Amino acid sequence: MKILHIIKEFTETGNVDTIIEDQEGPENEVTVVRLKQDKDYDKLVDLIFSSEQVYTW
Amino acid sequence: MADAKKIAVIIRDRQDEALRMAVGLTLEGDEVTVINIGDPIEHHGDNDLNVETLGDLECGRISVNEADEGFEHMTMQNLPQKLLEFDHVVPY
Amino acid sequence: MSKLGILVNSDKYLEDVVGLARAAKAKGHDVTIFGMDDGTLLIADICNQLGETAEVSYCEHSAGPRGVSDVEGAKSGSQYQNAVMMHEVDKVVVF
Repeated sequence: MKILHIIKEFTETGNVDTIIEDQEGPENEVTVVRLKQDKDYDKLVDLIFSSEQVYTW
Repeated sequence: MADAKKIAVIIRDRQDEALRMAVGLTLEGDEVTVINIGDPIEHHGDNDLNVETLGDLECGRISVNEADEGFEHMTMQNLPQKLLEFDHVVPY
Repeated sequence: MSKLGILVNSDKYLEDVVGLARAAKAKGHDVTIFGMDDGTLLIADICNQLGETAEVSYCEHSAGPRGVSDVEGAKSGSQYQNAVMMHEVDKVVVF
């Protein structure tokens, strides 16, 4: 499954890191976008609609 | 409902608003599950009523806290795979 | 055409909401925004900056105690509008 995790600027990830790490593996393609460092919204839209699942933390 | 979506509301810190929203999300016939990954749900009128309502509506109630009565207990280790079942995952 | 839903439940991410909505619309996607909780504090700014780019509604239950009412360009509603958005859109993001 193609999965996108969007990390917002002021989020304290905490146990979110556990979820992301545990979803990474041969059966999933996991992409993480950290908005604090990367605000390319055009790219983000493409990632959102090309992913099967989207999380915003 | 044939075209019902599976929606997970993940409760992190704002429990009351997350629970209120979860109840509301049932209004279009979607299958809603609340998943608490934060502190145990605080017991007060609104929270208790919304948790009870979610149960009455046969919504899923999952928590990583054993202290959350009425919730299916799940470890953080098992949660990432469980989340893959949903169309929308809405962290709150 | 795919549909993007943006749930705005905090007042910290106006730039991200507007930027993402504009980018999605420019790529031909429909954009729906629902504001609740502290997100209702941003609804007027969102409407001012996005104009017709997105269909915007907000939770009156959240807005009232925060002094938000009668926002031009947005529909004052309830969690029902949120349920409709979640049901109809293809993807949801939360700010």
